[in-house]
Amino acid sequence: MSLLRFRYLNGHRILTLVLILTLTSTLFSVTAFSFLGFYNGFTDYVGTEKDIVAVYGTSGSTPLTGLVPMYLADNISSVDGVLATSPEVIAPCVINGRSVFIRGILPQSLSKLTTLTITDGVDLNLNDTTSAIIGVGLQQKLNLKTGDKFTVFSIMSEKYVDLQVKGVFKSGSPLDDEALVPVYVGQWLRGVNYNLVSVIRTKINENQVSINSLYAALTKGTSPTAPASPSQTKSDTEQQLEGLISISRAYINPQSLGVDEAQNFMKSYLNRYGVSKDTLIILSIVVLVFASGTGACALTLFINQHKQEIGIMRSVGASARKIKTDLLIKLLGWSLVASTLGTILSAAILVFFQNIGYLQVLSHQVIFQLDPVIVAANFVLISALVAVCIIRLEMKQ
Amino acid sequence: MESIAFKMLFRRKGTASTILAIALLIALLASVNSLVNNINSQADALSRLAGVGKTYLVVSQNSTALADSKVDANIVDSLRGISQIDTVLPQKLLQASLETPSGNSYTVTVRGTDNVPAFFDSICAKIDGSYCMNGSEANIGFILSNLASVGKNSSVSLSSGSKVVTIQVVGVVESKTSSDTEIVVPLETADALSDGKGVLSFVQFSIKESNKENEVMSRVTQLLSASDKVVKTQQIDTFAQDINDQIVSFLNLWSFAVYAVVVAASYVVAARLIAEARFELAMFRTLGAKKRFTFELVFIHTIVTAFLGSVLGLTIGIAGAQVASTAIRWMWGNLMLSPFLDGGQALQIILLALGSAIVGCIYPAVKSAHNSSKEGSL
Repeated sequence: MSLLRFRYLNGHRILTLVLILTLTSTLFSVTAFSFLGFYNGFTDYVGTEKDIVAVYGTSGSTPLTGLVPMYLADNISSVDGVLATSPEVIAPCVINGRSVFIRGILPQSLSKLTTLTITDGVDLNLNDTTSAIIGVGLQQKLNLKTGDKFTVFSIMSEKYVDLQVKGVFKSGSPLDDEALVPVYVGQWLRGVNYNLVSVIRTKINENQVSINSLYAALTKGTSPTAPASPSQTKSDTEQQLEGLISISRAYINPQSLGVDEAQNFMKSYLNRYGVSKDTLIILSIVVLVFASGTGACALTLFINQHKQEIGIMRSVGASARKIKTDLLIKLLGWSLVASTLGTILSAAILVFFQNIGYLQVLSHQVIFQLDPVIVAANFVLISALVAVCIIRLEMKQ
Repeated sequence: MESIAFKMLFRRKGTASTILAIALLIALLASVNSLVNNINSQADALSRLAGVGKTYLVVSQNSTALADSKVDANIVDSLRGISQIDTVLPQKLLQASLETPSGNSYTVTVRGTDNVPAFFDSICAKIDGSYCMNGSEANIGFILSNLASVGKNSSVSLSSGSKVVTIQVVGVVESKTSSDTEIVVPLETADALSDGKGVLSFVQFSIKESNKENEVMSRVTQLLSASDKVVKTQQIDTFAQDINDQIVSFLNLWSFAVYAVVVAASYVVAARLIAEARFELAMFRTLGAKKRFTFELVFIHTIVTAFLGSVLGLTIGIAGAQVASTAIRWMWGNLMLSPFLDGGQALQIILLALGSAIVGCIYPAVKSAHNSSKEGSL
């Protein structure tokens, strides 16, 4: 005879147990979602699309410290299958006492890779020597509006510059937390000469060119036996910089160059420090394991509180196995409720703190993303905790 | 009777597991805090290593941009009187309209300084031509020179409001700084284009020996008026501090979630005590103990359990972080990983854990005081 129809579990006690399991589940979800938010934010920094490739210098230990010659943007442009290139220089700076990343760009080139929607003011031109456009996230952080002036202090050199907000943009990418300036302003603030940039973002047609063939084409042009020579027709980069800066070409060691899919480029930096999506999920599981002591105690309490009811059922002939199975079925249902509530609660907390700009890592907002792996892991782990506690339960006759 | 009662309650089978439940939560906090401390101290150390800048600016307190700053020019002589200060460059920044020989007009930044060669020397500029030495001469940055097609020996006019000056470009400079897009003139020209003498935008100075920074800054601060402040041009320490604050903000949010579970754990500790020791609690009431006594028993038992759990958790957390970091150092050779927790933080964790325990145990303790005579349970 099934015990499922017997309602011997006290509703108030079930509610208390669900509440405690919900809090445990919330702790796991908050940890995992914020870790993954940080990880995804970092790996999406250069681009999320498969057809966006990063050309970078391998000598830097962070994406900010590597350098690559800007003229390579022209070499890349000439490769069949390359749709657009955007040389960018990233400079960590301080504005009004707050840490900010300034990105030096060629406005026309960037627009071919990332769509910027100007929400206020006007777009940036390469000739805007004292202007910047700022992302909506940065606008909220610094409380700036179009027309406001501010001084930028560099981190990597003893340089400073006065800039005026020319416009505010929205891109739905990490750029929203940055200020965009003409490439040469970024180079001042990064403390490098006019020939170098941090990364060259490249949009490719995957059917026409692969990462390997792009690297081969790139390193061919840097070989000392086949020095790159200025092309007869002016490239996109040269055309944009024409009349402002002339880019010089010099031999570079092919081994100092790297070409990779944008996300893999960023992942490789995190991997150097042992940080991967898997390790972050494992860390979150460790947090849940540490918090599971509370869940286990709550389950023990729950069973102790029902000792009398369980004793009655045992005395009328219900086997320990049958009672455990019944408890397991009933409590697994409540585990599902607790893990769902935990996920919803953690999502609400993170979205709230994200909206008020409280959650930031490296001056970029941590974007909350509902990861199905975390949601599933949450339920599985809470259920496993309940199952282990019930199975290990000692039931005296 | 109290001591006997507590002995009975603490010698129960479940006490160790409840202490461990709280200890594990506190261990999480202790280990994560110690790791964050390590990250922050490394960032500080790096900022001190990298912060080699010796250049400072005196600006007005309420300005957000150098062009809007107003500093009394009298400060310049006082700064020049300090022997440890190397170069003092009073500067005036203003926006002006540049009219080129071809008739085109551009809005440009004009920088005036009283020692143009020293200014260009401070930014390691290369010059094609000569430095401007009087009010009718100017130097132009090479980017602006290319943009506006204004070369050496060109004659241009600068206007700001109703004030107009005509100057001759005597040199084109390249410095890889904002001066590459500016017109640099002697201070008298900048004064003629603005409100006149006596007011500067800012004063730039550098110190001779960076190890005497504190001493020099102390003297400079004494010279400043209440409306002025000193800022360093390379603000790596400010940047590092802001990044650290972001990590601490994240840690605070996460700690809040952990303390919420500590509240739940304390509730469980109290509720479990009441459920498992209901006969003992009923016995005390039968022997004449008042409701308050039952409340105190449950309350103090939970607080002591939370305290023991906190101390054990701190030990586990710090030891665990140390063991893990040592293992990582052995495996990957990352010598910079050295987590630590200072005394203030340890005390804060214990106090917050005790606070959470009080919140968690109040309801079951009050309820038990009312119900213990009839073996009530939660």
